[in-house]
Amino acid sequence: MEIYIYEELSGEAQPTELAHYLEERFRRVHVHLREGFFSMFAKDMEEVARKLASLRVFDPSRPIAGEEPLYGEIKYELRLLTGRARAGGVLYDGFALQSYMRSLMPEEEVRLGKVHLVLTSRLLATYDSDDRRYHARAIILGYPAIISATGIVEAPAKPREYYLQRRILGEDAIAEAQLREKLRQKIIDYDDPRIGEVLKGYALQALFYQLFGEAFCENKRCRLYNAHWQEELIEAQFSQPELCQRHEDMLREWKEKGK
Amino acid sequence: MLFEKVEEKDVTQAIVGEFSRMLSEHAESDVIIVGGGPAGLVAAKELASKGVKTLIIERNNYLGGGFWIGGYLMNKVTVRSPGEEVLDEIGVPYQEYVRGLYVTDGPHACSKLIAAACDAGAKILNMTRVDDVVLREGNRVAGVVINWTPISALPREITCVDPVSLQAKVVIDATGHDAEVVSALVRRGLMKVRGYGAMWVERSEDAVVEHTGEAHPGLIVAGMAVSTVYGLPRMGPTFGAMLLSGKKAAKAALEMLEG
Repeated sequence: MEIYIYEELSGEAQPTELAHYLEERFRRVHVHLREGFFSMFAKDMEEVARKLASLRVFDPSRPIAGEEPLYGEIKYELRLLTGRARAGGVLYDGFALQSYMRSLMPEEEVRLGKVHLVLTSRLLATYDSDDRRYHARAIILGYPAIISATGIVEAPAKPREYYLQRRILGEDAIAEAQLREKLRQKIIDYDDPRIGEVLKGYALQALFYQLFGEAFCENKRCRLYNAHWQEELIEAQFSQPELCQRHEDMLREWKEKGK
Repeated sequence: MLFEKVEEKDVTQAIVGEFSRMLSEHAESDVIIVGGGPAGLVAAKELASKGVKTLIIERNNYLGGGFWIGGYLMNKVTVRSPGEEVLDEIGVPYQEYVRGLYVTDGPHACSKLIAAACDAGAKILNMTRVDDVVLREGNRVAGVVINWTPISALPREITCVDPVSLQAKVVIDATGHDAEVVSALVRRGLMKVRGYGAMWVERSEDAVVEHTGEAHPGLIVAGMAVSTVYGLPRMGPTFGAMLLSGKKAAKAALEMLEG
């Protein structure tokens, strides 16, 4: 199996370390690092910038409707694509982004034997028609699979204490910084050295999804556990052994088939 | 007698002559910065220190905007790292309050920043409001239409005073939430804004800095005007984003001037 890792605004991701980890863990795979998804598959960066700007979520209670982006929003995306700005403060529709990315990929790239992992620092969200609102995501599974380092920080909920305190603190920046410091062991924050490790867990989910059609596990100590809380995420990603027995067996059998 | 003897007419001629000379010289500038708050002042300091002919237009008598005081009328201002780099540049002492959050005296920081912009060579038109924009081909902003601030504060019947226009290669809107230059374009139907609070709250300071740039041909937005244009959430009383947004605006202006 061929795995392609792209750095699309990778920020806190460490693609080389991830590549070594996947090769070690899966054995029967070849991991290729590719520089940027859009520079690989798109020719007109201005057009890519326009499209990305149109994928912004402004109202979390309404699905995006392809509103015409502002001149400055396109310019901002262009700066991001050319490495002259960093992602921050913008929420994108994750499924729409994935669909756009897939539309740029040539047919021969979209094969069962190929996994495309895009590492991004854009914050992604998907609209849930059940509760009629967007939810931030750390991963969008499929072609390509998109893993968001920012989503790792923002998508799983922080401890309840954090939200209660934030309500009381309002805009008090000093107190908010102190609160984050206090909860450091219970949350994954920006510039957190643990992000690279957590990212490996999400990459495992993407690969299991492609290999076995099963991305998640019910076991809270398995790296495939679909954590909804930061504390759960930390437990799932830093427990040993990495995988529950069932998923470890699935992986071992798959590796043995190739011998 | 302690002071030299001068006549009243000498005083008048000194004021009128020098003001007229300055205004005449700046009827065409490289960059006009509308708004003399922290973002506008930093942009002015950066540009003027590189030999760019820079004019600040400020509607109040005083410069500095909200930088004199922090929250709740208390004159301690806070900046998050790396905003303290600007305090270092202008020689203002500060202390680290909690990790990554610095606090300094508002009056000291504000007066030093004003002095730094003036020392760098930026010129100032205070008590002056922007009424409209000067447009060229493709609706490119090529200057501003100005009038005295008191004119807009008095009844129309007694203040039917025509404005004058100033030209510039680049205009920076650093007028805070009012986004006065942007509003002039909105009134003409040439630009849209997103309004407040449409985006993701956690990284609003980053978002203000990263979205600082050309928002309409010839027009850069900086500081809290960025929030108004792109729908970023209102921020708490920390000024790091304002200072760094000013730097980013200057960089964008230099790129535009270089063509």
